[in-house]
Amino acid sequence: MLFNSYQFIFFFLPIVLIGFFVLGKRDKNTAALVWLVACSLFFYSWWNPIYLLLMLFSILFNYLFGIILTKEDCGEKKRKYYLITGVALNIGLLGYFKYTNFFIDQINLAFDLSFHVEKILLPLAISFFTFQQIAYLVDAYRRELKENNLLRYCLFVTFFPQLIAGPIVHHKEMLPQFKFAGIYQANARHIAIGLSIFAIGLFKKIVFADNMAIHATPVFGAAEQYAVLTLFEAWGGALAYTAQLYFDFSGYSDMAIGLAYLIGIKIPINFNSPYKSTSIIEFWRRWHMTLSRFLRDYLYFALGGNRKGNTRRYVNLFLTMVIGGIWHGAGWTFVIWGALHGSYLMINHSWRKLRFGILNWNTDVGFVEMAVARFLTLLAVIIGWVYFRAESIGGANHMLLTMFGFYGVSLPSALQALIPNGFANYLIEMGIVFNGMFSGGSVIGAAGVNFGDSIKWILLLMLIAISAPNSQQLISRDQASSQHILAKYPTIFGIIMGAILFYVFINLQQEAEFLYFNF
Amino acid sequence: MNPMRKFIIVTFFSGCFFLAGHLLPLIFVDPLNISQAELTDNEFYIREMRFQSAGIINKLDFDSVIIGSSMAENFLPQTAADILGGKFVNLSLSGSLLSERKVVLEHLFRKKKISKVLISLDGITNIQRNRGIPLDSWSYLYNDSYYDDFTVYLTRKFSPYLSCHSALKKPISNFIFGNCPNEKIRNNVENLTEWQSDPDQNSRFGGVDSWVKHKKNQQIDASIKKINRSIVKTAERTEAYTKQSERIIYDIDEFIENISPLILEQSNTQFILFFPPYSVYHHAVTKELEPNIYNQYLDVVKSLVAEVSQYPNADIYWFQDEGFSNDIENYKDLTHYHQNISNLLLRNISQGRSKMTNENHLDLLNEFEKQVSNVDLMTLANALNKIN
Repeated sequence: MLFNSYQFIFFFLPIVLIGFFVLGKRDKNTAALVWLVACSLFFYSWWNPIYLLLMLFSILFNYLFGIILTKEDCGEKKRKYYLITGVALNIGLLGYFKYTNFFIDQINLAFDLSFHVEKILLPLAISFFTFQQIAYLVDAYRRELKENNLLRYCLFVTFFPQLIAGPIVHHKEMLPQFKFAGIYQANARHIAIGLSIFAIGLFKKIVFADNMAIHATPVFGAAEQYAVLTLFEAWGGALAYTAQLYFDFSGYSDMAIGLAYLIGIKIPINFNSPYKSTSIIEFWRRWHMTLSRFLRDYLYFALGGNRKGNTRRYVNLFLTMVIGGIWHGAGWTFVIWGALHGSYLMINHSWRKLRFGILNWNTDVGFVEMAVARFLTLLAVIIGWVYFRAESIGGANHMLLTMFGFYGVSLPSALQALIPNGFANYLIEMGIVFNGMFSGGSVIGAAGVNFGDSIKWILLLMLIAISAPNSQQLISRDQASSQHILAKYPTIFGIIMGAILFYVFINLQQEAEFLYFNF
Repeated sequence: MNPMRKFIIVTFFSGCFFLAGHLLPLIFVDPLNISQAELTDNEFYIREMRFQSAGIINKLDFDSVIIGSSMAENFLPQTAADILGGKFVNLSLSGSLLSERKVVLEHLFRKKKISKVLISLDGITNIQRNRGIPLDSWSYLYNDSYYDDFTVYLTRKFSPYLSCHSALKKPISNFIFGNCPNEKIRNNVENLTEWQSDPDQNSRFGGVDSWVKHKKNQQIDASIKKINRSIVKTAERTEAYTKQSERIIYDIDEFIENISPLILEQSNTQFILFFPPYSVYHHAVTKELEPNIYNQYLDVVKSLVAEVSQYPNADIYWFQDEGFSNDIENYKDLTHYHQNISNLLLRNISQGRSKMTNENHLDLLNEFEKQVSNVDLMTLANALNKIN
C-alpha cells in the first residue's frame, strides 16, 4: 500500500486514526499501541505477507539480544560476543536477501563459472529496519537503553509512517514518545500540522517527482542501450533525475513525518534543502540526514573516525561512503557512487584544511565563492546521481561522456544564421554541429518525450530545489508572533491546503512507487 | 473556535467544494459515454481509445471490430463494412501492445457477439514501454463492475473535455476547465481514429520533398536520422549497436499469451490478422542498424504463421510483396502508410489475396529478403540530405 494511493488515504489511514483515538479516549493506551502495531503489520503485509514472518523474526531476535545485552550480570566478554552475533545476524539477513544474486554473478564472472541461484526478492524495508535495529543493539551494548518493553519496541520498528523507507529513526527519539499521554488524544494542532506536512509531501511526489520521471526514464534507458543522445538531452535526463529523486524521497519523508505527527509523534527530518549546499560535507548534513547520522555514529566512528590521524580519517570516510553506497543496492554503480562521494568528502576536507589551516584564508566567503561552491557541489552531486540511477557502469559512462561533449555538441540550427559566418565556421571546425539541441532520437522519441518542451519544467523544478523554502520552513511558526502560521491564518491556509489536497487527489490515479522503496 | 480546529474544518470543506466542482460536471456531461443513463446527448467522442472504447462498447451497436495500433487507425469502419461485410467500429489503440488489446477484446466478447476482428500484428514486444498510460489507469473500465468506471473522472485528465460540450458556455468553461482539446475529439465514431484527414499528417505524404519540408516533425526527424546512421560503414559504427543487438523486441510468446486464447475461445468469430506493411526502407534500416531485431522479425513471422494455422477461424495476411512498400511517397515516415493503402489492404483481404500460409510463407519471406537487400539507402539518404 503506497502513501499516494486511494486505499491508504481513504481507508487505511482514517481507520487507523479512529481506532487509535477511540482506544486512547477510553484510556486504553496499551490497546491503542497494540492497534497501531497491528495496523503497521497489516500495512507491511499488504505487499507480501510472507515477508511479515521475516520481519517478526528480525524484531524478536533483536529484542532478545537487546535484553541479554542490557543484563547487569552479563560479563563484558559475553556481551561483546552477543553484540557481534546480533550484528552479524542482521547483516547476514540483509546480505542474503540483498546481495546473494549479485555475489554469485560476480563469482561466475570472475572465475568463468555457472552457479545458478534463483532470483531472491528483496523484502521491502529490510535495509531500513535492519539499520534501526543494529543501532538498537549497539546502544544496548553501550548500556544506553532506557527501557525494553516489547510492545513499544515492536512499534519502534514497525511504525508504518517510517517503516518502508525511513527516516531511519533512533530508539532514543521514538520509544519515549510512546509513553506520552498526549499522543493518545486527538489533538487539532497535531492533526492540522501533520495533515499539512503530509499534503506538501504528497504534492512533491505526485506533481513534481512523478512528472520528472517521464523525462529522466527514457534518457537513462537510451543511454543504457548506448543510443545516440545529444548533449542537451543527456543533461536534461540527468537534471530531471536529480529533481525527481529529491522531490520523490523528500516528498516521501515529509509524508512520513506528517503521518506520524497526526498522532503527535515527531520523527526526525530527513532533508533540509540539500541542493542549496555549498560543499559535499554540507550536502551530507542536508541529504538523507538520518542515514548520514547512522553512518557517522555507527560506522565512521566505529572505524575510528578522525581519532587515528588524517590518513585513517580519509580512509574511514571513503569506506563509510562506499558501504553507504552498497547499502543502497547490489551493483557496481552503487559502489562507484559511494566511492565518488567518499572521494568528494576527502577532497572537501583536504580543501578545508588547506584553506583554513595552511593558507589561512579566514576571510568571509563572498558571493562569487559561494556561487562557485554551490555550482561545483551540485555538479558533483549530479555526476554521482548518474551512476546512482544507471543500470550499468557502461550506461552511466555513456551518459556522462555525452553530457561532457565527448560525443559532440549540437546547437540549434537557427543559431547558425544568427551568428557571424566566421564564428560559425570556427565552431564547426571545433566539432560543433548545428543540428538542433534535441534529436528526439528513436528511443526517446518512442517514449513520447519532447525535450524542447520539457526542459523548462526541469529547470523550474531545479530552481525550486535550489532556492525555494523547504517543507519545514513553509509549515512553521511565524517569527514575529511566535504563533504557528496555520493558527494565525486558519482560513487562508485552510483554503490553500484544501486546494492542494484536491489537486493531488485528482492526480492520484497513477500511483508511482517511491524510488527509495528499492533500497 | 480553536484556530487549528478552524484550519482543519476549512481544509476539509474547501477540499470537498473543489472536488464536487470537479466531479459533478464530469458525471453529468460524461465525456467518455460511460453512463448507461442519458443525462446529456453524446456530442463527441474522445480519441484516447484506451479510455473511450469502453463507452463505445457499452453504447453502440456493432458486430465487427478493428483493433490495432496506429497502423490500423486509418481503416474507416464504413469502408471496412462495405468491403468485408458486417457492422464495424475501429477501436485501435495508438502504440498499443497485444496485452493491452487483449483487455479490450475480452470485455468486448463478454458484452457482444462479434463476427469479425481485424488485428494488426505489431506490438509483438516484450519491452514494457516507458511511455504513457499504465494499464492500471484504464483497465478497470473493462472489468465486470460498472460503477468503478466512474472513478476515471476522479482524475483531471478529462476536465478540459467539458469545454467541448455545447451546454457549457465557452468562455466560462474554458476558464474553469481549460480549453477543449479539439484535436482529440471527433463528432462521430466513423472517423474517430483516422488521422489521414489531419492536414499536418496528410501533408507529410508525397515523398522526399514532403519529408524535407517537415523535417522538424519528430517522426520524420527520427526517420532521417535512422537512415543517415544506417549508411555509415559498419566498421565506423559505435559499439552502441553491439549492445542493442542483445535486445529482444519481437517475441512470439506475446501473441501466444494474449491473442491465441481468444481465437481458441471465440470459435464463431473470424480473426483477420495482418502484418502492417511498413516501408521496405524501414526493414532495410533495421537490418543495417539492428540485424538481430530484423532477424527476430523474420522468426516471429514464421512462428506466427505456424501458430495461426492451427486455428480454423483465423487467417494471417502479408502485404510486403505489394509494390507500394518500395515507394516512399506512400509513407509519412518509415512505417506509417497512407489511408489509400489501408483501403487496398481491405480489398486484398476480401478477395482472399495476400494470405500467408504454411505453404507460401517461406517463398514470401525469401522474396521479402531480396526486396530488402535491393534497397538503396544511400540514394535515399543523399536525396534527403541534399535538399536538407
